[in-house]
Amino acid sequence: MTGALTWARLSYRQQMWELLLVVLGVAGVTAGMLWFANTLTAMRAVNPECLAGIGGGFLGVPMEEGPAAACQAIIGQYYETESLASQLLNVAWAAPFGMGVILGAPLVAREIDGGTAPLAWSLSRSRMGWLLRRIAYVALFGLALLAVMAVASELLAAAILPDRTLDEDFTWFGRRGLLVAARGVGAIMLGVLVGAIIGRVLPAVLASAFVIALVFIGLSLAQDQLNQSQATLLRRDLESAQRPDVEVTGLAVAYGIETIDGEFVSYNEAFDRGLEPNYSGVGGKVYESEADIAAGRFIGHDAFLVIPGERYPELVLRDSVFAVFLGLTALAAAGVVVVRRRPA
Amino acid sequence: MTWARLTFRLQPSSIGFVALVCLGLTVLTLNLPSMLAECGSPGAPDNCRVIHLFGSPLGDAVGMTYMAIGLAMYAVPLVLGVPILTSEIERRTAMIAWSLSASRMRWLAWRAGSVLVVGLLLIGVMALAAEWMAAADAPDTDLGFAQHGARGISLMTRAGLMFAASLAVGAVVGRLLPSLLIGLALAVGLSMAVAVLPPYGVEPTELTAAETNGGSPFTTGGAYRAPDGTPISHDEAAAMNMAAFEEYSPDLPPDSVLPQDVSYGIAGSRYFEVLVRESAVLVGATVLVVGIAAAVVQRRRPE
Repeated sequence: MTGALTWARLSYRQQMWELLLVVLGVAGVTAGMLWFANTLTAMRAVNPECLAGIGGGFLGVPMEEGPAAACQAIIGQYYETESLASQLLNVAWAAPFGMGVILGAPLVAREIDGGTAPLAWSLSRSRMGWLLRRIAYVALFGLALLAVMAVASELLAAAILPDRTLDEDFTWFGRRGLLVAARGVGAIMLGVLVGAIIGRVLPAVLASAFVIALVFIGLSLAQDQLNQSQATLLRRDLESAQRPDVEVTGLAVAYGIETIDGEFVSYNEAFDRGLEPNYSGVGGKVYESEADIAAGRFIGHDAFLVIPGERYPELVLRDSVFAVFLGLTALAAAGVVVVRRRPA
Repeated sequence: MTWARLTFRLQPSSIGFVALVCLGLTVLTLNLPSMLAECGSPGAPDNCRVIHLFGSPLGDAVGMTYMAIGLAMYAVPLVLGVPILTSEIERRTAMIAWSLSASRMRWLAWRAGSVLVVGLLLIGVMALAAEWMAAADAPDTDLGFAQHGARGISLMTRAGLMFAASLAVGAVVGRLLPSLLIGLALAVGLSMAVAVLPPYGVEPTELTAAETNGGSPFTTGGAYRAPDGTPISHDEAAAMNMAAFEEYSPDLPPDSVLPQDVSYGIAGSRYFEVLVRESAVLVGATVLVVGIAAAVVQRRRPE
């Protein structure tokens, strides 16, 4: 226990500034989230007649229904507040990647850059053990901060949409809850790997920003492909006054056309095949020209691939596992780099 | 060329990163108009979809490029300015360097000045390319305030101030990564400050229709006038509009019975006047901040 505390204290001393700044940042964002959550809840409590039903977003509300004229100013102020609050959820999305750059990249790079790595490695029983002890405190600290932010983001989301069951809703997917912390694991370990390879602080920080962005974009594209293979094909009626609930709470993977043969093609694929889905008609039918509308010749129906909201916990868990697995892979790679690195 | 080589040897990663970003954006900016023109023609090649995808759904490709230039305008000076002093202080070479130099001021002037020259050259190339793209986007009109702050002199003065701020932060904090983080926060603050400062004391006037629709004016506000020219409020204008549309429905009411939108601001033809004032303010602020950095370096205790 004493050894662990010593390592923790040492890790804190070596990255004191970064840890303090990150704590300040997370504290500020979390405080903002909680303040907005409280403000929005209070606004709805004070103006129930104007803001009733607004807590469900577009869920179950026909599009042509509008609020009373007397409520316009209150609703405008509410939406303005909600818009600002939503920006904090975007910060929650970016926070894990920022942690990777700020906390992960300098961990090993600073030791190598400062010339203290060979001494530290020789004093330690094994380089791998040194690496794990070096990372442990900072990674756990960073994850704890992300967990705080993840909880606050869930509370804010619930305050913005109190009438929705957010456990079965993909709204702000990746900007709240478990995924915020899980991505932090991947990003921090990727940062450590880049730092171990480059061995200099500033280049590692700059490079890790690019590497983390590229890796997570690649991961996101792969997950999109996976989502597309598991999604359900549903038709859309753009003329309808009300959006179906599944379109509001589900994860829309792709928009396109269900052809007459029952095949789904995206709009881009449709154009590539020589189809021209230029017009939408009643019932979601798609036509190529006004003449086709008059003749009743449609080429398909507006459609989209969607994963229903009920599968939200499943996808959060799946994507979190991917992110953590990415992190562990990066950590293993960083271990190999550290073990094989020549003393500088 | 000795000073250039030495400057590069002291900050190879920073200068390399900055060169990559500035020259990459310059090449993109110079080629984008012709790429978009080709994509707009019949029989556009398949890779046009990538260009449109690049711009969508956040906006068009040109807008995204200006956004990238706007980010680079703060990121480039930050990456150049922060390591100048922090790397020397962290590695404890500052005391040796300062004692070997005739004076700390002379050392700072050479050390920061050489990096500033390199940075301004690279940023200048990017600023010129942005200016050219703005002109290509509006070939037959005066640019006015279009893309102000993301092209030409306005871009360079902002970058210069950001460089000075980065230098000062590095001098005060003395550690690389914390200085980068604080500098990042400063960049956000600076971008917000320069957004609210215009028009730097230039008095706004009522804009004519020609000034509003062409020449990219700087708009400071708006108002409404009744058809007889009497100033009216927003609610009165909305009520007047509603009444007119109801009266003439299903036809559209004539313009003579509708309230008129009036815009206030600075006409595009007066852009140079605002630009000179802004440059004076930003250059003055830059000199002040550099002075602060110099004072910190002069008084800093040995480590």
